[in-house]
Amino acid sequence: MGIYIPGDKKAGTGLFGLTRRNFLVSSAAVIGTGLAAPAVRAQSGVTLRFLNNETSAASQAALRNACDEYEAKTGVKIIIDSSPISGSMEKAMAAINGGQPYDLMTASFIATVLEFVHAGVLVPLTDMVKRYDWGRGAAWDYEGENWYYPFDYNLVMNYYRKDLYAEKGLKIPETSDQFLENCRALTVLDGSNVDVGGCVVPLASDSATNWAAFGNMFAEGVELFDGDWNVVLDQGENADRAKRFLDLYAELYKTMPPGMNTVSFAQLMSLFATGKSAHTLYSGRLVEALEATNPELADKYGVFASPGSSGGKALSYAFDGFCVFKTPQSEEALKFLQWFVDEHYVDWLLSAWMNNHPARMDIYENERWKSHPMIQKHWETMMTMKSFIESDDVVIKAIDTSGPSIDIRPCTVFNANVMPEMLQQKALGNAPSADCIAAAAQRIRSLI
Amino acid sequence: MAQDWRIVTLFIGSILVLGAIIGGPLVYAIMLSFYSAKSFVGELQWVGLANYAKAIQDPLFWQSFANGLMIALSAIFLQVVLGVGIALVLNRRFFGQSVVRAVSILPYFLPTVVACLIAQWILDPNYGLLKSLLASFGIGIADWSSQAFTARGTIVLVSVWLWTPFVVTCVLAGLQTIPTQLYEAARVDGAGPWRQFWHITLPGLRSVLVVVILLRGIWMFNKFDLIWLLTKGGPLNQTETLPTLAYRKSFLEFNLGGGAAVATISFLILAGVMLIYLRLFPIDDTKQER
Repeated sequence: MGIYIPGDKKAGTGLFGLTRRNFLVSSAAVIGTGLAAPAVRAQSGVTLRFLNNETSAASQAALRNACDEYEAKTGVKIIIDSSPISGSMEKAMAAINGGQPYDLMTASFIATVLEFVHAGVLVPLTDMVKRYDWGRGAAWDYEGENWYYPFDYNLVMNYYRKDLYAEKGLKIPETSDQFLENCRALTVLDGSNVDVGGCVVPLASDSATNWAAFGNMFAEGVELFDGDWNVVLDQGENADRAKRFLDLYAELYKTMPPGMNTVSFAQLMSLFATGKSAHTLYSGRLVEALEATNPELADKYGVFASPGSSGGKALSYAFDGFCVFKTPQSEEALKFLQWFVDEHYVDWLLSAWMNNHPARMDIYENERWKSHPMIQKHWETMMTMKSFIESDDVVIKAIDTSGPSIDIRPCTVFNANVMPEMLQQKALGNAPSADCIAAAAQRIRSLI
Repeated sequence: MAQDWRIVTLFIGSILVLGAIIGGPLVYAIMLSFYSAKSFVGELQWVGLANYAKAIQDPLFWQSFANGLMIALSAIFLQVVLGVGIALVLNRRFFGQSVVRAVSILPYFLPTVVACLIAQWILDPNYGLLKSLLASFGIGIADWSSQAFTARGTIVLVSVWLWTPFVVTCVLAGLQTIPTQLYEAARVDGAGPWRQFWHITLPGLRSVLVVVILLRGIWMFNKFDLIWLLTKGGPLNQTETLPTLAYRKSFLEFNLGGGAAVATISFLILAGVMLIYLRLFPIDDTKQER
């Protein structure tokens, strides 16, 4: 090995006998090969990129298996990026801005899908969706097109403990007052602190609260907008209904365990699964969590819709579905999605057997789906969930679908966390309900 | 001459790289603040200074500024006081000094997200370690996240835990540059520990402390990750700071122009304060003496 001496051209052999010229040429070759690799790979076949926010191991495995099978069959490679729901929209937008858009994505809120539609980055899936019958609201359209292919409802149900209800002689509540009484009866205090909560309702400024906290409000009949998109939250009878809801929330808050201000999706489940709360709000995913972490409790739970003061019932929801982005490979992505929903839709649903509460009605007759042992075990709950989407007596509504039609305006309200902040003003700030409602209405007006 | 070319090339290369990775995004963010952008992928519309006008008319902006200032000042005060104290102890000779010095810097190696998760596990009002510990003494624990004082206090405490070791390391290095003869002379003249600290140690650490406070000030005022991980600006915006407000506007409300305006104003405020600070406390000792 030569020793490098500055200015000595003869001693130009550096480390491992490599000359400067050789080093530069080799580096350029390596860099050039690296830069050219994607182009070379592109010539050998199509590669699609799929942003998946269903991050359970079973769902990731189901998607991976399907993609591997598709690649073996067609040569189209599918790269899956799995990312939690909370950051997936930002990830998708960053990918678009970075010039490497995803071809497909699982989207979880209509607010997310409409932001993409408004930005003009989605391909309509109308023909694909129209081939089937869908449950209430699932095949929603915007500007005459269907923009995603739903696979579940994510209905936010009230879970209760049957054993505790029996112990205390309680009945499934028909009104919000009865619900409050049940929560009070099941609250266990440790001094002045709540040790076991009567219920948990999220309060943080995030999508968990937007999704889960407003069933009682919808059961009360509260509207954010009238038919002409005027904000009516603080107007007339509607304001009175909203006030009743906030007053109820303030009372329920006293029965909740501490930490609601930072409670996450996962904690809504864990507080119930660990016996820290007698009620919680969640989709079918909670049943899966109970089976995995506390199977004993999986035999002792029941579900009901959120009641209003005069007996109305409502459930909040957030469909999950597949989207296809406008990219040079949209046609290939559409072909893949069509194949996937024809061949692997049931596998996909069964990967989260209770959470993926079917939005496509033919699935309820599918023998393979029906015969899944866990669906068999929790058949009663599944049928109750089905009855919720079939019965007109139960209102199904969400913050991001408020108003006379699907529109970007309620999505803006959803994304800006206006309604969670209204709850915080009431529960944490002890502000009068009318002031909280007026502030929220004013904020909505300023946003839209 | 050949070496000169290499130096010039490396210098220009560095400037270009820095310009691309720091200057580029900065200019782009400032440019965005003059536009209305409803989403990341929508069309930009020129609105002039409207985003700035909206930002400074928003009470939440000033509340966030005040919150940020309060959190930064409290954290810096505690970090510096504790950092100097710990460094003074570690500067003395004792058995296991090297080990204790190494251990004392460990929290600085923790990624913020890990530190925040640990803090949440300790402080969780339902399952937390602190709750279990206090329960054994029959004491209940308050819900730290639902009250402004405790939420801010938690942010300050976690930041003190994480970044005091940085102050310790800098001050310890500074202490080792103070000639021991000065202390010996002071002792001969009858100066006690307090007078030695006040007249020798503190002046000797002046340059170090000026830089440490400057850096900690910039980092704490711009702190986003810790606050977002612990409180997300809640409860009721009581821990909202300008960086979290800029994030909220940009990434939750998809008001990119509004978020960029908040970030730009925050940058200008910080730059102004730092200029005044450096004017009052120049890093170069000779300037201070003039």
